[in-house]
Amino acid sequence: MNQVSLLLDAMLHTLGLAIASFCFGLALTVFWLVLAKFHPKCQKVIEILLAGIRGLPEYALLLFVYLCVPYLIKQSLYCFWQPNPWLCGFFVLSLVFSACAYEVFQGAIRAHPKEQMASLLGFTSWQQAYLIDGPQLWQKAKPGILNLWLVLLKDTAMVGLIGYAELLAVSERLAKVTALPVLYLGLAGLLYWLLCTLTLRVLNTVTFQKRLF
Amino acid sequence: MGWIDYLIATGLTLSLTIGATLGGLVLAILVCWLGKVAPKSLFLTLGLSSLIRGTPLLLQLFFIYYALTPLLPALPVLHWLQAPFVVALLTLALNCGAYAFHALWGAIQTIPETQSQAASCLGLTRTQIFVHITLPQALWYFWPIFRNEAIFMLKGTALVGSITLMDITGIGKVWLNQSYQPLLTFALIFSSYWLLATLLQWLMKQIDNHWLDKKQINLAS
Repeated sequence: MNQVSLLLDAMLHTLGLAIASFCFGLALTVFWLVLAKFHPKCQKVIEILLAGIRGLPEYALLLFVYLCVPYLIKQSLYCFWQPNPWLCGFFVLSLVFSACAYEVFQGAIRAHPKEQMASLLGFTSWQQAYLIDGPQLWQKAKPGILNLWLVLLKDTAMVGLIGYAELLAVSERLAKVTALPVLYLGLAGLLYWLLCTLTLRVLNTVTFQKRLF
Repeated sequence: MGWIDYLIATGLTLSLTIGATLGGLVLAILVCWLGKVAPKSLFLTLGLSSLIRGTPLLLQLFFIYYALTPLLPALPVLHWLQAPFVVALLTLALNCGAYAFHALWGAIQTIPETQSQAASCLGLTRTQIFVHITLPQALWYFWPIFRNEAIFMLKGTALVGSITLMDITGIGKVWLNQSYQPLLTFALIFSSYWLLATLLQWLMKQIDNHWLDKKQINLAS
């Protein structure tokens, strides 16, 4: 029974990391979008940066942040920072998520009709963005974002490799200790599958907004 | 740490990527063919692909390497199946195959059923219909999605270091420990991946331009 509670605890760790990265990733995406809107030069720089991030393996990025950033801090600021696996994973996962979500939102903006009657009806630009364009954009971007959520949830397994006690790392340790790899790794797989299916269902229910459309 | 090691690691990453992509493509086509010829098999394949798409690649690598291959009977014939390279290639191909099957099956659904009905009236078998009519058109829709899939596979190969293979990331970690020059090491790793991704995209585009016959598709639709 002890092992099961360990696995469930690890599952909560995974879920927590994924949710935190998802929220921060969405905020980062909005930040990139606003910054890109601000100036065309900014947009070019951001697009090159995000394309670079999207082209690199997440694991290599994670190792970069985990191994290289402490070195850079030591070299530049002369202070020692012991890297925290959770923080590194959180940062990299949300960065990668925002890089992909930026592209999804760009696609939604491209598919969004420019001329709408709202300004004629006397809406201010903030009201327009909040009440009219926002919900429609979200409707178009939703399938892509939900897909990226699943990618993010599965990518949390990588953070186990740099020492965070999430589902895969714990189940692998349990498999080694008890010499029952089929049972524990299979159980972990089943839990991941359940997490993916259930969270997708929850997100689909929460973001269902026919009324606003 | 010599350049020879680096070149071997790059070759490993490249061969894993191309092997897994090709394997996944073949697997997806075979499974779709099976689904068209024997629709009852879809129950199994859809469930299996959902299971593969719902679990992390790293977990699949661990599961096959640590849990499944030790279960194989200790025969010299089967020994090569336990090699990390073969395990990594099989896992990546399975993973790619599951995603590619999903996309290809979706593409097949977009092709009007009337075409297959007309073809079966002309006396073609189900396999002939799939090979000559459904697949060429579906591949055309499917290819842009599959190009992304190839990049995903390239990014997935970074994980094979966890089952003792020395790919670019793995060799970079060793290099880092020996030289302690993180900036140089990571610049090398990142630029190699960037080059490989560009090469892969170019390759997929060439296949799109030369092999996927657009004239036939226009005539057919």
